[in-house]
Formats: sequence, structure tokens, C-alpha cells
Amino acid sequence: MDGKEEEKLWNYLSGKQTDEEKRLFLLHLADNDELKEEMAVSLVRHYGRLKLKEKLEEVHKSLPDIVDHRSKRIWYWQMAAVVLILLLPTCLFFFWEDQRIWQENLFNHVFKPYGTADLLNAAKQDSSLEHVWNEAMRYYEAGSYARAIPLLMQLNGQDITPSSHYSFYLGVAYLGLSPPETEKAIESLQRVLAINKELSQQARWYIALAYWQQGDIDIAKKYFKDIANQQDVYNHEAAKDILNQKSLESIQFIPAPYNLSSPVNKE
Amino acid sequence: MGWGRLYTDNEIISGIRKGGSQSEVLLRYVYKKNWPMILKMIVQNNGNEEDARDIYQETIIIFYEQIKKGKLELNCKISTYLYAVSRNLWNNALKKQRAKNNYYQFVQEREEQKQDSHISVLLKQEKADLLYSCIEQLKEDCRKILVLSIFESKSMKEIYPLMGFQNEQIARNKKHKCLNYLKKIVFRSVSEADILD
Repeated sequence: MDGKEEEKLWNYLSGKQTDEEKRLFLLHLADNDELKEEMAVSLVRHYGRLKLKEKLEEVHKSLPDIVDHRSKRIWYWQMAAVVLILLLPTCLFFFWEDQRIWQENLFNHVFKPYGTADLLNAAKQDSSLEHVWNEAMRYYEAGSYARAIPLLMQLNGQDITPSSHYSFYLGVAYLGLSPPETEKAIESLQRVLAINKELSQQARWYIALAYWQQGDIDIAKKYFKDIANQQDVYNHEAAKDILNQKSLESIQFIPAPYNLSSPVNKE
Repeated sequence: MGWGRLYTDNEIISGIRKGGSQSEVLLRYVYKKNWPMILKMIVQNNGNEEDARDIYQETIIIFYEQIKKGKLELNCKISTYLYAVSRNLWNNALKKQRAKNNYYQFVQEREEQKQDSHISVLLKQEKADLLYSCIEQLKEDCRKILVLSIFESKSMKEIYPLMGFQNEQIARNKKHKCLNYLKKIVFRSVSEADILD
């Protein structure tokens, strides 16, 4: 069966022939057994295809709707967006809250009063001053900063050499109060920066803490940065840890005792 | 879409060629796996989901027949083959529709075809019913042997044990008898259809 015959066959089977074409085709079929057989075979093949198509249609019906798939995907993305929008403020809140708590707790965690010194040179020269100094230090060491402060102020007022060790301990004592008097502490400690090289590192540390406690975080960070940028200065590592916002427990700082009887201080 | 077990192309082709229930499983697998790709291709080329379904099913039938005839020689993946066949079928369909190079006329004709399609579908269905009725006048064993030998392209050697015959010659004789009977039916039915038309 050639292409034309097949076309006639399919045209006849699909009903596209005219009446005359049909009549001639039937006439042709009557004397053509081979064509009849080919027609029958074609019919079987067509039947097989129709049956297969029925099966494929059943398979097709079982497919999830592509639109549903897309809408489901869109729905999942929408839900994800909603969850994210709801979670984000919560996460931010807890993050900021953590930050706030960290900031608030830093001073309490890190502030430790500087160690007490031996008798000051100046105090040795005046026995009355020595008495005052000893009493101030006793109160200071006991944590009774409110009692130590007046004594330190008395000493500060009578300090002949502008070494401002008294100012230093006065500043630290102000920070030790509850609540800390940060402005007075800063004022005392700034005097130390102006005139005492040996204690300037320590003073810088406590000034930073004072500003921090006061809420002037940016100013405090500047001081911490100064300390962090200089190797081997007092609490250099601790300043770096603070700037990197390390956990409070991991911040290592040193309230080293200061020995005034060392050769450096006997100049 | 979960696929369950994954099949290789070779497994699919040899499994379909063997036939049986596994053939149906594999065909279902192929159908489900490649449908989204074909749907996307046709929808992106001025078709709709219904067009895609028709073209895709025709593609799968071609794929199936080629395997059964032993004529499928792939030097590419099955999905690539199906895509190429579908694309060709769809392009041919589009060419026929766009013969007049007039987009608006094309759209209008599509609308008219939609209106007429109801009628044309009935006519097609009537013819399909007529053909089914011809074939289903045959007894089941006749239908089976004719479909196995003609549509599934199985040899008598493969068919006779499936039909429960003793040897190939018996199967061959049976097929011959069934085909003759079908010719008589078709001739008679063709005449009736002709009168109805």
C-alpha cells in the first residue's frame, strides 16, 4: 500500500471522502483483496493506538496539575516569606536585646578596682598624709568607696607633686560607687592623663569604662581603640575583645596591683 | 513529583519491547517524567495544555511503536528524542494552522475551530466507535493475537506461548483466520458507515 492509498484509506476511515470518492474506493476494495487486508491491518494498528491512548489518558489524569504545582510552589514561597517576616523582628529583637544586655553588663563584668599601691612618696614625707592615705586605702580595699573618696579628695587637694595618683584612685573609687559617678570619675582620670605617664594607660582604661557606663559608647570605643592599637599596654587584649564584642566571660582583663616602690616611681 | 525507582534508558527500551505489566509501568514512568518538559515547550510556542496533551500522547505512541517494531535506535536520551518528536509534530501542526500568514485570521479560525471542534470531535468519536465496534466483534483471542502481532509487532514464536498454542503454525493459522474475519466485518461496517454518511 503506497502513501496515496493509505491517505485514501485514512480519509475514508476519518470520513473526509466525498460520496463519489467513497463509491470508487469501495469498488476498488471489492476487487483488491490485498488492499482489504492492508486496511484491516491498519485498523488493528489504529485500534492498538486508541487503546494505548486510553491508557495514556488514564496516566495523564493521575498527573498533578502543573498549575497546582506552580501555585503550591508560590504558596510555599509566600508562607516562607510570611514566616521570615514574622521571625525577622523577633530575631532582631533578641539580637538587639542581647546587644543591650551585653552593653549593660559589660561595665559590671569588667570593672574591677585597681590594686592598691604602697605608700606614696609624697605620703612618706608627711606623716599626717600617710595616715590619711592608709585610711583611704583601707576603705578602698574594703570597697567602701564612699568613705575612701573624701579622704582621697583631701589628699588630692594637698598633693604637692602633680603626680595625681590620688586623682587616679579617686577616679576609680567614683566608678566603684553604686551607682557609679561617671562624670566625676572621668574628670579625675582625665587629670591623670594630663600629668602622669605611668598611670595613663590604666587611666585610659577606666575612662573608657566610665564613658561606657555613662552610655557614651562611641567615645568609650575610641578609648578602647587607642588601647587596642598599642601593643603591651594595660588591658590591650581586653580592649580588643570588647571592640570585637566577645562574650563577657571570655574577656580577659587585669586589674594589676600598682607598686609605687618600684624604681621607676622613685624618680 | 516522586518517581519511585529510577530507570535507565536501556532498561526502559528493553522493558517496553518485552511487553507485559512491566512495559506498562515503564511507559507510565516515561510519560510522567517527560510531560512537564513537553508541556512547557508547547505552551511557550503558542500552544495550550490541551494541545500539549494531544501532541505528547501522539509522541509517546510513536515512541512505543518504534520500540515494538525494533526500529528505535537512540544516540541520545529518551527525553531528547521525545522532545524532538513533539517539537516536530507541533511545528507541523502550527504550519498547517498558519498557512495564510494572517495572525488575526489564524486566531479567528482557532475560535471557529473551537466552535466546530464539538462537532468534529463527535464525528471522530463516531468513527472511533465504529472501528471499535468492528474490532470488538472479534472474539477476545482474535483481538489479542491481531494486536500482539500487528500493533505490538511480536513474532509467532513469541505469541504462541502467550496464547497457549502448541506451536507457531497454530498461532499463524489463527491470526490468518482472525484477519479474514475482520476484513469481512470491516467491509460490511464500511458500507454501513457509508450509508450513514
